[in-house]
Amino acid sequence: MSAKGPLHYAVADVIEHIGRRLQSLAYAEGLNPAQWTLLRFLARSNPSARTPTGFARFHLTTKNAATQTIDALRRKKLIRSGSHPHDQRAKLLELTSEGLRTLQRDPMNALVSALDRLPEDDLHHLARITSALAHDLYLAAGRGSAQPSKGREEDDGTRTGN
Amino acid sequence: MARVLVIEDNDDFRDTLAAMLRSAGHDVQCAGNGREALDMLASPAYDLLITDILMPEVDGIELLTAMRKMPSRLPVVAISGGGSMPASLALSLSTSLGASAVLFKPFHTQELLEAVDLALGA
Repeated sequence: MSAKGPLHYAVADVIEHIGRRLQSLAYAEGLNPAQWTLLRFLARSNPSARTPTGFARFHLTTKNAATQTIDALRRKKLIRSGSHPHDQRAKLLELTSEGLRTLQRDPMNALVSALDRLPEDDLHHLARITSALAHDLYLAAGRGSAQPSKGREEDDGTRTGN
Repeated sequence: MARVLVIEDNDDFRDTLAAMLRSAGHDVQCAGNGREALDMLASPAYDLLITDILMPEVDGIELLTAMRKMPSRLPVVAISGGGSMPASLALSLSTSLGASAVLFKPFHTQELLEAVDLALGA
């Protein structure tokens, strides 16, 4: 591996700036970054995962913090409890129509639009590079402790076997 | 009916996934991690791959990265319940690396089968 030089630090600095800018943009529409993440989660995840525990795993946060975020969005009437499409006994979180409208103004769209302006080959190249970087940062450091979620599956993981 | 390779390190969950897929008529084989899967993928005997992301040995991200260098592109359904990285990131990485569909644990049988149909282009 080559010695770390100015380019390494410059690229790291750019990535940090992008992260900081996105974090700053995510305080919009009266929401904070975690609340935007919850809206996105409810829009994109499969229905069975749309629970407080599911959101905590999605966001790698505690159940308590996840509950606070959920309660805040309930108060803003952006989310509500709904029924599972395949299991009437299960109660799940879902977006309200106002939540859906708010999500259309997602501050993350600024970055998505910037990515959309890239040539397709560059986008695929960037996807591979950012994936490798994130994998290195998150997973390599967690090796040996990568399984805690497996032990937490016993309660709601059984739904998978329905 | 599709020939499906399921990669999951949790024995019970792997068996459950296989049973769900077989109940829908799919022909299922299983691997316990990405390294086993790469050996099995040496012969082009599958229509679809379903992989967990966080696994010992070769994980799902490394598997997807290795698969990008293979001559034929298999459709992939990625699944994650979180762990040392947020499930959101695990599944975004999977999409970035070519997964056709992603599922957060837990999921209902119907959700798995819908993801399979999506990945197979049904």
